[in-house]
Amino acid sequence: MENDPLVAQMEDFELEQSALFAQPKLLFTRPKVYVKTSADNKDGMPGFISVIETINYEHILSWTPEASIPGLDEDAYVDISSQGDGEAPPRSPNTRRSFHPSDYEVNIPLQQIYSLLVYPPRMKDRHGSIIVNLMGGESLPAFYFHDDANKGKGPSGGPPSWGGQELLQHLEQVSDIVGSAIEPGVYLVNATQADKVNHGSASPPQASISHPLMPDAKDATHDNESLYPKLDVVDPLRSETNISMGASSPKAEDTGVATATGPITIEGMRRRRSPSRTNQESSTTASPSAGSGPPGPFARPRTPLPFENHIDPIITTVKEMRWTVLERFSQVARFSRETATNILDHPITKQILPPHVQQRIQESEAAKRVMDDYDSARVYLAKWAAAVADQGDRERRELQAMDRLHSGSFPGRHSHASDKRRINDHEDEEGPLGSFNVLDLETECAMIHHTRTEPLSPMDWFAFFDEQGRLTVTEAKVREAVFRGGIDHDIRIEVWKFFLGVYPWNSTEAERIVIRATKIEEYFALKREWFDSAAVQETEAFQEQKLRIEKDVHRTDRTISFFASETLPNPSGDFTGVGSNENLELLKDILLTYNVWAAKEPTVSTTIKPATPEDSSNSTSSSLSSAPSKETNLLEGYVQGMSDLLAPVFAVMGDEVMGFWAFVGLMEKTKKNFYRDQVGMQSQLETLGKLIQTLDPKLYKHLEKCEALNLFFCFRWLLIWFKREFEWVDIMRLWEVLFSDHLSTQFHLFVAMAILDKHRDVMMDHLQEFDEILKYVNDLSMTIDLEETLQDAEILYRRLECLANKVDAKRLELEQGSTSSSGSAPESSVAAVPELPPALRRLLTQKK
Amino acid sequence: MASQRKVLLKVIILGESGVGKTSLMNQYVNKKFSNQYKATIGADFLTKEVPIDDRLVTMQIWDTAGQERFQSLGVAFYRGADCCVLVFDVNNAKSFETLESWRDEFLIQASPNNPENFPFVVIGNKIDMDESKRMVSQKRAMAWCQSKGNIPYFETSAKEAINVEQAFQTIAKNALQHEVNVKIDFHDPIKIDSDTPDNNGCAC
Repeated sequence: MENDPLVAQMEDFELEQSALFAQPKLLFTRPKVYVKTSADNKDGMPGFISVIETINYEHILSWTPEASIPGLDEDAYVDISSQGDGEAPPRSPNTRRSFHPSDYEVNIPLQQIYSLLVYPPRMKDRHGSIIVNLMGGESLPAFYFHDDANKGKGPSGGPPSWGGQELLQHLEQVSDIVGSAIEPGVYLVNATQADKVNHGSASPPQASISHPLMPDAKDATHDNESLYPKLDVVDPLRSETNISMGASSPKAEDTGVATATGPITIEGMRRRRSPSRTNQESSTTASPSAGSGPPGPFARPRTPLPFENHIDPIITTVKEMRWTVLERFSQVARFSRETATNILDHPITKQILPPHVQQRIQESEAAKRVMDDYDSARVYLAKWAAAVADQGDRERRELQAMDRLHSGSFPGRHSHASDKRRINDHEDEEGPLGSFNVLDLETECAMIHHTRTEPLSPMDWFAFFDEQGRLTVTEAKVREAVFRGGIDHDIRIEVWKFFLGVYPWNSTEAERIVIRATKIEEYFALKREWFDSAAVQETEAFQEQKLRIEKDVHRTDRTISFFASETLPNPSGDFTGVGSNENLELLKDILLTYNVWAAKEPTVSTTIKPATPEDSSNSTSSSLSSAPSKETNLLEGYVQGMSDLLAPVFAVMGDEVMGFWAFVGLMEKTKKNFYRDQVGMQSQLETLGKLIQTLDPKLYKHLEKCEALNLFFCFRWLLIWFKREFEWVDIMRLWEVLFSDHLSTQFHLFVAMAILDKHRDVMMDHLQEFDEILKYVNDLSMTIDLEETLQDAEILYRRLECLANKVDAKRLELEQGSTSSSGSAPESSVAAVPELPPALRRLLTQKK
Repeated sequence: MASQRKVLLKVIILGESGVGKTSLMNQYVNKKFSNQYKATIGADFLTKEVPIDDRLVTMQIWDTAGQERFQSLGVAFYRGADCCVLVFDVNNAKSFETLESWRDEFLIQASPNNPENFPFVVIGNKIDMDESKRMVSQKRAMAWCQSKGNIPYFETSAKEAINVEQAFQTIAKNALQHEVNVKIDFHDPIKIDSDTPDNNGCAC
């Protein structure tokens, strides 16, 4: 098996993979790894343990609860790892869970792992387990490998394997794993030299990593229950490779203490490198020379090293690939043998698997039982990829933040996870602005910073005012402060009143007291129109509105304590069994009163600017009716979504009257979304479409291909300002940033663009139809990081602004050139400079 | 069954806001009920694999916003539908009276090839509520269904999981029938309809 040519092919394939697809890879995964969630449940929660490689070749150890995997039909699930008979192991009986399974999800970069404590399965001890000890001294809950089905099925008649061993072998391929000579069962991960010395690792007797991991191995004598090993008893030595990589890791400091307890032996000093990676190898395999070193942190992962060539590459590959692809599918696809279709027909498989492996799988029995699944598999894969990419992205941001702290420089260059990728994309894709898109966006407009900072504190806020309570700074300054950091919750109740038009910016405290009194009167005058009038209440129209409002109020933010209780009987009676509370009743009153208020508004003029010819030429294929007319632009009563908008505003204001007026202010900003003709939504979706087309032409093309250019998957975002996409506290922060109108009165479109931008690679790689995009985007709800999104949104705004400036500068240059050098630059060249669509120009202004 | 091809059946649930569209879908797919599902904005769908006769099909069930103001989105969501489920609340007469317009609107926006034979199923939901609150009798609902070409009618409770499974079985069957007919129409226009659709009326 030496130097199998397939190894070379695999290497090529890997390179190709990473170069072409540049997406996270699942290196290894194993099902039925349990985590005990409490002392009393017997088996705990089943999940999948995986090793993932990010696009930056960072590695992550991950555990995903089965229950958090959408669409996993537990009953129909067949463990394909059991290959032969397909007999699924019995499932744990626990199904009632009072927590959310995803709370238990684990995603740990390998560099944060200090050591692993490994308990192989023994005769009387059903399941092997692994405990992960982190750098900080914390430990993760033990992972129990319930993979009994694999027992006795080691390849090539080798000793039976268990999942923990396979996991270690995979970890070993991407990191330096060293067994401790002092603490049997302890394996140091990427240990420093000092750690290794202290652990007396590297001694030849333990040269094989697989040996001690075998079930019933002699040295696995952890009969004690001390699940948390004394990690301070450490120490070891590091290979030459690692020394050269910079031995000044934080761990080096710890070792000052640790060395005292760890014996340092000559053997301990010798590098220990297990040659044994698979079961068919015996522990007697000769140790490689120290010179052939393990892969350092920057070595290409999964590329077989010379001394590894004796591993059957097919077995390795098929195994890995089986897990990568088939196992993933097994989760999503709810396997059942009766309906098998060949997995190789699946487009994803074709993308991922090299031909010779495909052929191999075709011949395998296991694969024949595997069937593909349609869209949900793609959506699932997309989510998975996004989660992994997100992890890497977050770490990079943290690093950048650290860098900034250290260098003392103010907000650093933000880098999009997909920056590099996007540059490549632009090479073959020109946007509507031609070469401007390609060059300027990625070079000159690339060094753009966000300016996000801390929320406006009460101290800062009060400092803005003089003794009369009049603002001493400009309105613009307040807007900017709120845009950049939001508002401390304690002062929201006051600050929002300025932003929502309750108080004029130049008012004094005395004036505001008068305003409050007036607003109270005004409100109750409006409310009395329906509240005190039996005649009004009896009308069919009123009854219908009331019913509509009640239906929605009773399902608006009921998980928020402010709206949760059921202390009052439900007066409407329509919701039998559903109680009400004072705040819900006030929501209803406010919405009914708003109907009265809105009806009094003068006929709403069409504030949507009529589409210019240029606008419509590139217009997204929306089906919403156009032709705005004055008559139909009215709200005409309550529309779904309004209760979503009211709830936070009312909760922040805390009382009915101010809640109402603040809501009026918010509706001034959003009411076009609710007009009967939907022209407000249509226009926003079209503008968003242009934004995508200009800032990310490749994504635009992809959406076009998916027939998703109507952007209806963003409908909910825009209609209620992302209310369903973020947690309650985030909504308040997001909204005040939007209230600020600091950069743009349409900043929410940049927020939308930022979210799409974050997921654009995943969408382009995995999602091929409108359905899939809609599902994927809907399911982003409550997973989006607000701070990051706001940073990106600001940067995207600046990019557009930069682009606009470039275009203007170019025009000016050409115009001046043509006047000064008398016609050497003809008019036509000015005309040839692409123009930013007017809708996007409008985004760059603060005018409404 | 010559075809090993996976079949995807697209089902659209329509009806006034608050009649229980989201609840029905979740009860059927996830076997869960909550009286706090938020009002649906835009649209969403869930998928479920269902065995019908000797084949396994995937139902893609679309839940839509109930307020007629958002109907203009429909064209994007209704396309390629294999069955349309019209839901009303038996305790709310208006929700029943608007079924006709939901049906018409669907036919306009989805523009199926053969609108007269397009499969609808009607569901009267919330039968768990007190009988005294009932506003639409079974008789009245069935009469309307018959007048519209014998639309199958089910009375359900998404809350108590009453009749939901049965309703969706019929939905799946009729959707599959439609799928097959569309395929046949498309590939082999000469072949005559072999099976009559399963329009057996109320199964409750």
